[in-house]
Amino acid sequence: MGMDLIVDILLVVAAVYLAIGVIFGPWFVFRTLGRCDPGLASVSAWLRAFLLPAAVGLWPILTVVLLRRRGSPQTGTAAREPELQSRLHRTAWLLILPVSLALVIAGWAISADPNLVAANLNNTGKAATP
Amino acid sequence: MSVGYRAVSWTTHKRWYDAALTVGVLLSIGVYALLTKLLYTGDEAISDEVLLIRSLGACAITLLHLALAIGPLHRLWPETAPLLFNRRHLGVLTFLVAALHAVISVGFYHGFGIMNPLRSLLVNSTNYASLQAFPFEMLGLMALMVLFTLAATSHDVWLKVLSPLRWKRLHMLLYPAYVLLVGHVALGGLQVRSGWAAPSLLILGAVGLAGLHLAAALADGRRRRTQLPQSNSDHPWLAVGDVESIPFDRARTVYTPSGDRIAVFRSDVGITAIDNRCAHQGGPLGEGRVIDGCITCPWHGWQYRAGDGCAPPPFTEKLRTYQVRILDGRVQVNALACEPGHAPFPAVPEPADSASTPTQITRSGAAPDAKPPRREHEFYVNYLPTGPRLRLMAILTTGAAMCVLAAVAATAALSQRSPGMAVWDDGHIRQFTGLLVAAPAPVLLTIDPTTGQQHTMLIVEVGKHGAAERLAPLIGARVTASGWLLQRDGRTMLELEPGVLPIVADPAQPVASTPDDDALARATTNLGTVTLRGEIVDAKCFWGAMKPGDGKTHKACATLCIRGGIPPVLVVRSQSAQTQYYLVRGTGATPMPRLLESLIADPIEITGTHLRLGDLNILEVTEQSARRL
Repeated sequence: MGMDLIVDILLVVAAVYLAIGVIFGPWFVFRTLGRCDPGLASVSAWLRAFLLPAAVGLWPILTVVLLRRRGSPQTGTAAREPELQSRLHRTAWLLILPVSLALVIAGWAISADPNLVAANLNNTGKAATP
Repeated sequence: MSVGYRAVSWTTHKRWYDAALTVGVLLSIGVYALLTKLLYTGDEAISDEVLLIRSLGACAITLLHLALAIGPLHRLWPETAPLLFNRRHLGVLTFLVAALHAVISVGFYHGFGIMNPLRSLLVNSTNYASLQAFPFEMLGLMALMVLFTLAATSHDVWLKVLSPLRWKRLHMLLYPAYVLLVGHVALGGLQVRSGWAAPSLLILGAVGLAGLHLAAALADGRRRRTQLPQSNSDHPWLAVGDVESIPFDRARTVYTPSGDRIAVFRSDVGITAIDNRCAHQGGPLGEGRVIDGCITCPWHGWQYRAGDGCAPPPFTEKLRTYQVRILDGRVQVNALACEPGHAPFPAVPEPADSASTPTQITRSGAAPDAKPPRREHEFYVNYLPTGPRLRLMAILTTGAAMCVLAAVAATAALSQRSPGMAVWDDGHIRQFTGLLVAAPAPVLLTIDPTTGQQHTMLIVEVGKHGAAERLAPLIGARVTASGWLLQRDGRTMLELEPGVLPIVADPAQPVASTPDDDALARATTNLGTVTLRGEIVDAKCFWGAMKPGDGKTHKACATLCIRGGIPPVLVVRSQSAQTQYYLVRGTGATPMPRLLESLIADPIEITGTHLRLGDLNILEVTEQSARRL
């Protein structure tokens, strides 16, 4: 019952999140996009529709971006130096590799399932009279 | 770039790329389906929906590996640039295939039941404390949400809106998604496969990707040691090397004391210097070329004028530039950046400068020998024609990717376990007449007139619904039921035909039991207490509605079915490969205790009272009578 309640709460939260996104997304894509960059003011309706899923799904991030841009039209930050970026990817693999291997080996270990091939272990009863 | 955003800027290369991806996906699914159909035929055939779910899953994780391999591959072999140029299409396709896998899985395993499929997904498998019973679906769901985020924000508009740094950070989520997907497969798909091939493939994938990154890191390290001057002095003028050490229309890069890099180009306008980071995604401009007077990024072909770092009109991007000078034939660059778009005077080498002998620079500031590139590679730009070497490389890489997709699909298909022989004859409606009893699930009890043997047939509704509620008024009556037959190992089940009157009491008999019927219904034999090892499944799926209808991947579906009233049965496989079925119920002919629902589809040991009704084994159990093995 506890898990059912948690799931119900989760589903309500997800529905509210999505509902806000459904309102925010079209407003952002069709009314506000041009504020982020003048080059975005004249994008086609087709492209705007293309952008809609992200605007619906990522409304909290986009709200933060809009709030930060208030007053300053462009606060965009350049990407990291490519070498640093590469180093970041490689460092990530130092963690990903052992975790992935551990998961696969654990999955492999528990997939062997000899327990199901087992006869009646302990039939202690006798046929009863109907 | 900054103007003229379009949904997709199609080029011939992109069309070829997308066509190759489509063929690859179809090939993967086709190989999987073909081998599965050849391997398991007739009554042993795996359900089409399960086949589709599995083939899409195998395809999606292979595509993800390919997408992850492109970055380090490009560092090792620059000729693979076409793969990098269009990688976003691969990423979006990976998400679409994964999403299709998820939608079909949720539809078939969680649909047709007594609750919303999404709710079923979250509540029907919740044992997070056990690795064996861990709800692997949650890992897949989380990974899918990340893949959605990455696919939805893959367009350049989002780069502009979020800024390249934030966009890159967001897209680093691909790595957690990868781990989640590995977990999803290891704790899900691997559990229904036999042998070492499938887990070996996963290990090979992870080790291969890590190995590619390691090899790329080593290659970059070698390149850096032999080619890149690095300054640790505070002097603003940094040594780059001799004029001749900078290949024409190409660059050398130099570190500033702060760790940034400056790309110093030699072109028709002279020697100029520019920030090494492309304004688009931070691509290494120092590895680019000067094409039509513009420095061209090797990642996506963005261009900047060599003189002032401005993108050519109508584009508006501007990069920081740097002052350059030549002293005694040696190029130096000022570490203090000019304003973006500022055009400092280019350093124009005198003939004597170009003819000078290269001198050594150490890592502490002196310039190294100008070594000619080991092997000149063709420079790829998406919107320009390609040379023969790049075309050959494109053919080779496409062929390799196809082979990988087909090989993984074949391995995954061949490592599947047999679902067993079961039939769901949903093409023919049949009629059966007998005594309807509750065990507590509705059972049609018949007597073979020739042998006198009692035969039982479980009755269920369509979908994941039991028939107990609808048939309650008819319990104890002799009825004629019509519907579709499910059969496995001699056991039968009738799926009632949906309609106004699915059950018709035999008009020759009143809706009340005869003395013979009473005797038949009482003929439940108590065979004593038994302890068994096996797996609780829902009888409908296991007897033919879903093949396979057991195991970890079917756990949530089985739970939903049993909660909906489909009779739970314990499957016991003896060492002589015979299979026995026990209808599981609570004491006093009540439904199976709710606490046992968490053990559905797990290997368990269970103790209970063994009863027999006709040819039906019944196991009467309590809440505490089972444990997970």
